[in-house]
Amino acid sequence: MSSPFISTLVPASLLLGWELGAATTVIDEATFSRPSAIMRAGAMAIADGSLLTATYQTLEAASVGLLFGTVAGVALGLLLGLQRFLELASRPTVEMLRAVPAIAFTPLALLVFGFGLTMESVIVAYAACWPVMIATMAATRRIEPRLLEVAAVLEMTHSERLWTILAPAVFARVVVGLRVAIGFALVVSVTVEILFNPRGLGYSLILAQQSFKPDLMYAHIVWLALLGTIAGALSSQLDRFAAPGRP
Amino acid sequence: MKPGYITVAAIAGLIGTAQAALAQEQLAIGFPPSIDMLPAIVAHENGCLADAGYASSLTVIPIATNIPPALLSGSLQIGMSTPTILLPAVENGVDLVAVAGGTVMQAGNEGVSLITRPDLKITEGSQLKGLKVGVPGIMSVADLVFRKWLTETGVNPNDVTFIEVPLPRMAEMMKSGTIDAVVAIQPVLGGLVAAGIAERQAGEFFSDAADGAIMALWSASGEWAKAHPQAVAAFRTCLDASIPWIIENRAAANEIGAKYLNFSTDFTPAWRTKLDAADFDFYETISREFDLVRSDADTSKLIFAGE
Repeated sequence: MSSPFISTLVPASLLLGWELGAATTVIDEATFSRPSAIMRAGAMAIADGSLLTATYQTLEAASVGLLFGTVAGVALGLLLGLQRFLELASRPTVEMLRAVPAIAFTPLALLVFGFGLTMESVIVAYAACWPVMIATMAATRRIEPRLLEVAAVLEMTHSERLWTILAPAVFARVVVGLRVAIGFALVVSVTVEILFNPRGLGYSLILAQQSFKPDLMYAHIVWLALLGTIAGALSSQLDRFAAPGRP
Repeated sequence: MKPGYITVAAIAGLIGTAQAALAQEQLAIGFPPSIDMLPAIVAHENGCLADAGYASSLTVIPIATNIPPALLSGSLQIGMSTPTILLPAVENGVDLVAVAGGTVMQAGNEGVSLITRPDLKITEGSQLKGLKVGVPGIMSVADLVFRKWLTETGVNPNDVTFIEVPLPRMAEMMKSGTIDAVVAIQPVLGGLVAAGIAERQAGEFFSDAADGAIMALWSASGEWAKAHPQAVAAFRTCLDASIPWIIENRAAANEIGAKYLNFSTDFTPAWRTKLDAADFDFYETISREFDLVRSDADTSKLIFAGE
């Protein structure tokens, strides 16, 4: 038997059991719906455009937040990695801020920015910033000091140092931090939408629950699982840039 | 008229229409999915607010406590609220005012009630001692009035375990026995009883303790209301116009409401747009009794007087 066939055995059996369980009322359909109803609800949501609009809104916020979070993380990581005094001075503050879950800032962000893309992106950026910053800072500290001394002797400009010494040295680690941040971005954006922001997949999901449409709610969960898988596959492709020789 | 003039006139007409649309003042209205909010939905959908010169938009906000920060940030201009959201907010210095009434409790037409597991055969409050009761929101209007009713029936609320249960999860939690009773709201209330999951035999706690009390209302930031008294007046007028229309056209109103609420119900709450300081006095007293607020509030200042 081929391995793809074996891999589909377990989920297919579970889905079939679920469908039969709901059909024979062993499983409460009002709570757990059934696979065929979920697929139908998902197909209808795709056909009327609501699922795709919500997907766009979630991915938009996750991407914008990830972009700003990554830029801020790299900048902070380089700065604190190169400036030992600054790193020491800011360490307690950074550690304290890093320990606060990004979602805890959402009530404040709602007051400042109101509903919408900005509020959600800011929260995602906050969550995405830390893994990138830590990875960048660790990589910067590992740079051979003699390289920096040579750069000083050669009177390299900041830009030259950045592109000839720093960027190649930290790139692989930044990619690792970015991969972690990509996972955070989707989770945080959907959570913000579920709890606070009336847009995107999280909002559609909670509205489906509040409207007593469990099939549509599960369709959103399945859709999010698919998106998460795609995001994971794409982020693993980043490794090719970080380590081109690796298969 | 020459073709050139016709084109110019058409373009001018289009620009004029676009300018008129832009000139309309934005009125973003937010509310949780509840039948109580139907007059505002009808006011928007039937064009009353647009006719009054407002570009209204409706947003369903699943969690009511997210509405005050949205009002303060300017994402919403008017949002659904309750006395138990408004009182602690104002006590803590948040600039919120009530701009219109929503629904009131009406004995014989209760849209909120206590329903219990059929196997428990509960017919009075004293039987709730030691049981787990689900409420749609801890320290919500329904929760506080239920606690007040318990004390009036001789039950110490501390002898009851309160569990916050979202309306869509009430059925499964009742069926699984996780909770013994639940304070439910229409249409969930009727659905659970009709399905035999719960029975409604324990008396009508809300109308017993607070008949005629305001249950939901409309609020805005004080700053916005002061700057836009005409908008508040137009909103009140449109609510007043929508209520009789809903009552006369129940099926059509249900259809309009379903666009935003995603459900329809035959239940018709008692709507009242006029507010009075006395509406808050009862809630202020019970809010202090159950530690939701600590200080005395000037309830007359909670209501925006208008122009």
